[in-house]
Amino acid sequence: MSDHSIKQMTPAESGLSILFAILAFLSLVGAALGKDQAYIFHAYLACAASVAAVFAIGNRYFARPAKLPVQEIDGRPNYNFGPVKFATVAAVFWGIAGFTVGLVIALQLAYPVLNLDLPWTTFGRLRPLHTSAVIFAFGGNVLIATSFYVVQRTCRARLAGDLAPWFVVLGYNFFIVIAGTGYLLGVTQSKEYAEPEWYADLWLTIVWVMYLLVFLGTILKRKEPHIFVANWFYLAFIVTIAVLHLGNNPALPVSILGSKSYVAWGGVQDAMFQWWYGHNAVGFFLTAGFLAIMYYFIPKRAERPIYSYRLSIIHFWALIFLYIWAGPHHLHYTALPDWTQTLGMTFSIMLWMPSWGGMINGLMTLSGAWDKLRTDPVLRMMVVSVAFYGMSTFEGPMMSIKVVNSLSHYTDWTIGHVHSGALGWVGFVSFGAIYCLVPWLWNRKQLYSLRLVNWHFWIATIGIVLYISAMWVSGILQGLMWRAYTSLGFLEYSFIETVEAMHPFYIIRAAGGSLFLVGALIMAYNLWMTIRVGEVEETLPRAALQPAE
Amino acid sequence: MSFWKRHQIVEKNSILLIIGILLVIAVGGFVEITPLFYLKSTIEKVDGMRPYTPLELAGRNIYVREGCYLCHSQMIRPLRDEIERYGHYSLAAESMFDHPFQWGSKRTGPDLARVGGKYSDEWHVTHLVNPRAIVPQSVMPGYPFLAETDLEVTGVVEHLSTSRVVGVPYSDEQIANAAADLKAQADPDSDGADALQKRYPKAVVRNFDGKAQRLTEMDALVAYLQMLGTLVDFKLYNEKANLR
Amino acid sequence: MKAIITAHTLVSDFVTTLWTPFFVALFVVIVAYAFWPRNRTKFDDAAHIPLRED
Repeated sequence: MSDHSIKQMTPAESGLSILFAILAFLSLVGAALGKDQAYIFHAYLACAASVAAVFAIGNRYFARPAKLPVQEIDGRPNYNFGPVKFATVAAVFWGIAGFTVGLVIALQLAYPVLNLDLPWTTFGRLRPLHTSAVIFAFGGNVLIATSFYVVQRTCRARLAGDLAPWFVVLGYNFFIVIAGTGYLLGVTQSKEYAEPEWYADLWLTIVWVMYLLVFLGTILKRKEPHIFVANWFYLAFIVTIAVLHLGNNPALPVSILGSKSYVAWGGVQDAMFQWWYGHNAVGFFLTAGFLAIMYYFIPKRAERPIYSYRLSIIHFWALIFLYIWAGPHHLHYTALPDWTQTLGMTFSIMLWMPSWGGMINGLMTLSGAWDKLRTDPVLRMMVVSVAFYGMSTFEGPMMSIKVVNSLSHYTDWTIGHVHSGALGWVGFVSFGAIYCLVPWLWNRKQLYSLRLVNWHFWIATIGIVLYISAMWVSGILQGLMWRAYTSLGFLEYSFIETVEAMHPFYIIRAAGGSLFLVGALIMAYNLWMTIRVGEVEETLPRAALQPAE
Repeated sequence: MSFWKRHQIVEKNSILLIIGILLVIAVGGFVEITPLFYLKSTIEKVDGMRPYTPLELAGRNIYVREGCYLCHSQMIRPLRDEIERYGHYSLAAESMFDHPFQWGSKRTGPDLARVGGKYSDEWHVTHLVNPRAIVPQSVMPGYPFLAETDLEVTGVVEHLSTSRVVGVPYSDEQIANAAADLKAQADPDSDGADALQKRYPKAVVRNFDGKAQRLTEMDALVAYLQMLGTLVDFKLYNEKANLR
Repeated sequence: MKAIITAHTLVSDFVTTLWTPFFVALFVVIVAYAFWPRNRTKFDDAAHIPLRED
């Protein structure tokens, strides 16, 4: 910030270089002394990444001018979009990877021979790879990209920190690599959606604290007096995920040189912690974070303010208060005490209200501009995503009612419910946001082809409909078959008969999933062409505002 | 100074927002989770529960590693059809030594909470190597590599002592003899078998995978599967005493 | 350790008994804040944040 122009390393640059050098050394020691193959492999990965980080920081230092990028140019904020671009590309990459693995495991359930009977390719190891790739790799990168974009734009301030945003983006993606390769090698805590072992959890904690600091730092130096509501949702997502991560994951490693650990909680308490975490990963990662996207991108794309800003405030507080209670509905009729189950059910049903309040707020933003849905497939995608949000947030409270749950639990109905939210809501609103972001970030007048967006929309929509209807039928069918009795009072079906009955629906589900994947591939092509041959936007001064990196 | 004043309010507002978020989300956790630790009624009083033998624990870790919990629950609900299909409904006490719990959330395959003793060792080994050799319509993956992989025996003492730190009541004696117990359980002819059964009542000593010369991952996994749900004797269990 | 347990018992006793009235009150305050007439212009202005170009 000072005026003298002697080029110096910032404390962050020198400090991080030293830290990464130490980390490289420690990982090498870990690799040499490690007790299992996965641990040794991860130690080598960490070593390579640390060395790469030292080089990257050095290179960046030698390439940059003496002065750091300024906060403002001609009174306009000098936005930092480099990390946003990286996260956007990463989101598309991980999305396609995650959808592909999803298709593979869907086919494995229809044709078990595809498990190949090798350790690394069975359903049990690929399923966490699928869920983590779509939720944390695809969804997480979408959230980091959009949050770093939205917070800058709505605060009219450059992202806080110089290296910190890059640390967040790259560190997070490194966590994904460690987690994903770990699953294939059999490294797992077996806590659903929190499978990574202790060292990956520790690393994620560091990255996440930095994420909070960057986000908060940007808000603190904002030029807008009011903190825009999307940032509230982002903040709740970041803070709560930190609390959930710390609450669910305390574990004691058997050896500091091995991957295996034992979770601090046991039995019924562990179950409650797990689903307190698990349901709020849905509530705060897949809902609050993506609602923030809705609150920025739909008004922006529709060029109208949000329908009711007041409703959004009430939506926010009611949603985060009620969500946190809903976890026990994953444990109905289990050995969890009844009073906890009842509380969980009650709050899950109440959750319907703020969810639909948010949906109405998003949809009604279009009032007076409904014609845009005909001409703008990107906006259509986001609006349909909000409709899917409404559908799954009705279905969810319904399934949390104990009698309904006694039928739906343990069946494919749950899988169908999750995917109507994941494909319809999270997927579509993410695609919409990415379609908006790419031209903005790369200075393009518009997308390469709106027709391709249209194709993406319809192919993916048909895919979702196939997927969720197949799972509804198979789930309800299986639930009914399990409890069917003959007139003589015997159970009518053996378990394997119910498995056999699922076969046609598993094929339909795989077909739906492959359509969804085809849609995503069309999107990737469209985005690639937008960046490569899209017409450069010249009227806006954004080109001048591009950061040095 | 007006800038400074303004800045302070700004700073307070976003911090206030975080504090508000933390307060609001803390309540749900507090009300639902913390009582589970101190309400005595959460976990029933039952006879028969004991920590896993070293071999069972090793098998359990393989069960976790292969993601079996993704398709098999270990939680029988108190519903008529489930009790008739799988046995007595699961008690919280039955998983009190489980770090992590394995209740599961999906039944692509049947519940395994009481699978112990239902089938022979040979059935399990054949089924795990190729499920369709026994159940033609099964969609379960085959695990032939378990029978070919020697069980990792180093570090077994640390596994038990780590478990003890997180709350599993292993005795000093159990920890000291962990390595011997691990081998003895799969070797009925060994001297250690009696001592093992004294340390771990109801522990089954058998050559689970049928290969006498090797201690494989298959031994461990089958040993674990064969003890599931066998510890509590429900002929003696007093349901009324634990009404909650 | 004993102090921690006592503090924890106090907090959880408070939370497990008084959370309902507390949160009903909090909810009322939030609704009042959102619909307070004087806040109207502020919120209308905030709603336009994404639409202002820089």
